[in-house]
Amino acid sequence: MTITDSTAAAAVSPGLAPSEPAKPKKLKVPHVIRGRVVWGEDVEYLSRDFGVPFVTPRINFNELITPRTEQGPAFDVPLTDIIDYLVEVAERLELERNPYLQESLELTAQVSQMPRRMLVNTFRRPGQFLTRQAIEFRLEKTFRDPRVLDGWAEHTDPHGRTTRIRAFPPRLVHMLAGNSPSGAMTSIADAALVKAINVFKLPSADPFTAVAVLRTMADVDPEHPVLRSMSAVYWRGGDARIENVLYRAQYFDKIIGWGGGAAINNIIKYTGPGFHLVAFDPKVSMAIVGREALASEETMRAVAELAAADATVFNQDACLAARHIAVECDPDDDEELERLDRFCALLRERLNVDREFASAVGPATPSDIREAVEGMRFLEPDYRIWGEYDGSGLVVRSPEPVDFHPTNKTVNVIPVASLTEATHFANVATQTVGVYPPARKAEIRDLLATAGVQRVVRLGSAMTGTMGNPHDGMYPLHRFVNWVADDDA
Amino acid sequence: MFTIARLEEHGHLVSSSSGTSGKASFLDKTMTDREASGQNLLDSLTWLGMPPAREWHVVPVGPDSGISSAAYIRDVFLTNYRRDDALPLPESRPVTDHHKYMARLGAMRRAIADGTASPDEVAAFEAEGAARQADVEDRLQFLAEQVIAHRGENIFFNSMFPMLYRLNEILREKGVKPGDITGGNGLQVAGGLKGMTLPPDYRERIFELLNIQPSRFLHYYAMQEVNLRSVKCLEGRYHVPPGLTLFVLDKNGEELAPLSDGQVEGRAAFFDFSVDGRWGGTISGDQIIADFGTCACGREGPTVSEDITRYKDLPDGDKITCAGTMDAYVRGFIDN
Repeated sequence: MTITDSTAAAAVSPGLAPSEPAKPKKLKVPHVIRGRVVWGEDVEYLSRDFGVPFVTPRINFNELITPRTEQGPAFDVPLTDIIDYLVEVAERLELERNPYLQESLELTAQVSQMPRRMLVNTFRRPGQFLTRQAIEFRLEKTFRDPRVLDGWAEHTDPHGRTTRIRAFPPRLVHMLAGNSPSGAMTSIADAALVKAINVFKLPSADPFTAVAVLRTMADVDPEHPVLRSMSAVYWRGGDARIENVLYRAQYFDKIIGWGGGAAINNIIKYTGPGFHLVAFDPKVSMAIVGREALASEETMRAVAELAAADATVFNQDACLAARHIAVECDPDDDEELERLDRFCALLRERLNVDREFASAVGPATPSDIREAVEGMRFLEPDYRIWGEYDGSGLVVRSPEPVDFHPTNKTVNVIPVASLTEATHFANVATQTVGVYPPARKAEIRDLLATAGVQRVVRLGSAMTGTMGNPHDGMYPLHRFVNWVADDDA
Repeated sequence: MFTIARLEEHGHLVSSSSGTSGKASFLDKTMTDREASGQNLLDSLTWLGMPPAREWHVVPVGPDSGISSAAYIRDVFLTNYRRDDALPLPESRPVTDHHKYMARLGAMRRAIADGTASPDEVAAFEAEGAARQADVEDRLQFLAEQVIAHRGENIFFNSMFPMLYRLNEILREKGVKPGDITGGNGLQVAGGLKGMTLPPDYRERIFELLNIQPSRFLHYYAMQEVNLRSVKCLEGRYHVPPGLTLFVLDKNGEELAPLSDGQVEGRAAFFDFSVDGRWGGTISGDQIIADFGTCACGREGPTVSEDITRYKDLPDGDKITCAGTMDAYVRGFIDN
């Protein structure tokens, strides 16, 4: 990828300062069409976060869509070959040795809200999921018998009737999420494992990483059927001229969507019989802390660190980042409240720390939170505030969950009489709940799942997942494929 | 909302609003504020070339909200512009107590988000909303008949655009065509579309049917927090009146936004010297483009372009992240 020459700086009006900043450079974003890189400067767009313009080729629909009269290039490629290919690609997805990723990092740094150091770390992350062992383990956990991916696996029912089942490769549109480059890498690997025909819709916050991964795949083998099954293009989300053409059951089986709001509401207009949404919903996360945490200064320190680690993931712009923390404590007991406040102060300190995926000082607190918090300062001792609005971390203790959405390293601590009471704060939007001490997870996991929670973890481990686990209440690869039967009954 | 009535008895004319989070916010005003706002309405109409004259039929299109400040402004207008033999108004029947309704709406939204709202409560709330809508429709039908009966006489419409558009549709359904209504009609409109979607030519369709000329159209930019209206001139720019100081801040509302060629884009903030109940400063949620030169209409002083967008309504492009808020899980029950 290259960067076009800077356009002339905006003329400064005499006597009027400061003036508008100079216009930023235009970034060139190539498309990938069935494995081939296509450059072009036909259409210009703005990235969402910083308004950096970028240019892309025009989309040619006929080239992009594989008609249903045609099998996908990878439909009959054995899984072992695909895993070999992915593992070899993964070995080359090392930032230090991969010029495409380096270029992507430079470009992503210009349009992403994440600081460069964190971007570098996210580029390193997918490696651990793309080893042979990790992939095979995951396929076994998801499909029990991964042979269904390679062909028609036969079995006989209790009546003696024989049938053959195949997890048939689907036709997928992937709406890539823009809040982490590793998402692009894992989405491409998922698409490869189910042998799908894929169109990746590039996100404006990161239109580069998916293309960088596909180019790396082309270096390993430009004719590999998996690569020839993949296209990656950008259009402005919601552009009916593109979506009204593409989003049809005749062209795709499923659309994989991350997040919510306008992006998902817009897709829903097009879904219907034969064209289904597999949604990774927009989620919030929380933590529940037992009174054991307040037993001593030492445990308070340790638990504050665990809570801060969960709350600060991607500077809290991630589904699994904790926002509300319920702590078992009697707020009417002065001594207990004092301990809770000490915990809040320690938590605030630990929010202000550089981590692999967090900045000591991140984006500043948004004005709606500041306004609400300023009001709460009048409500001491029921409410109490620690920290600053400069992005270094803010802790708000309140008798019930605050009614603003805590973000940008803002943590809401709520005293609760019991862990059971804390489960009432979980709802259909809650994804991950970190619990301390971990042994008490069992006390509340059924209540949490009843409320809608999908994942209960040890406090401090929100970002660490066990391989092969379900995600957002499903086994995604199981949802992606089309389950087809060849029945002898 | 007994308390709000008690506060009014003691000169604290509280106005309230409820955000989408379900949190209510309150604003303290005094009778001096209310009078300043009323006088400013007359000044604004005079500025536009329509000084008080009791020679109009008056059609307040929207229903009586039951808000005392709205009733006050409406009475100022009726007293100064409505002719003695004017067409009858629909029975004043506040659909509900506004403060109470907004508080319930907020509480309902929160209960749905929490998962504590029962299906019966949701059904009852939906039915109430439908009944409100039916009342509004009845009112518009009544007004449409009155407009037809007085189609050759001067009528002044007070409305928001979405409701006026609906009146225009009803008139057309009744067979009224452009040119049938011949009175030299006037219109005053505050605010934009409140998140509603209307056809792109909604304004033209309303104006041609109701025979409203731009010179008889009072369109102003204002908000609950200020008493003084910024009136739109024939060149389509809102003029910030004396007594109101405009500040254009950056997106976060922290610093003055940079000025370029006499223009500045950013978050509108005001200091209103006529405000009595509070200190007079307000930072709005609106993104505006202001000009500090001379307007094409010939008048000097700061003006605001008609392209005003609430920051929260700005498209976030195709922002996609796995992190969400509760909002995505609540269908319906948005205020406005």
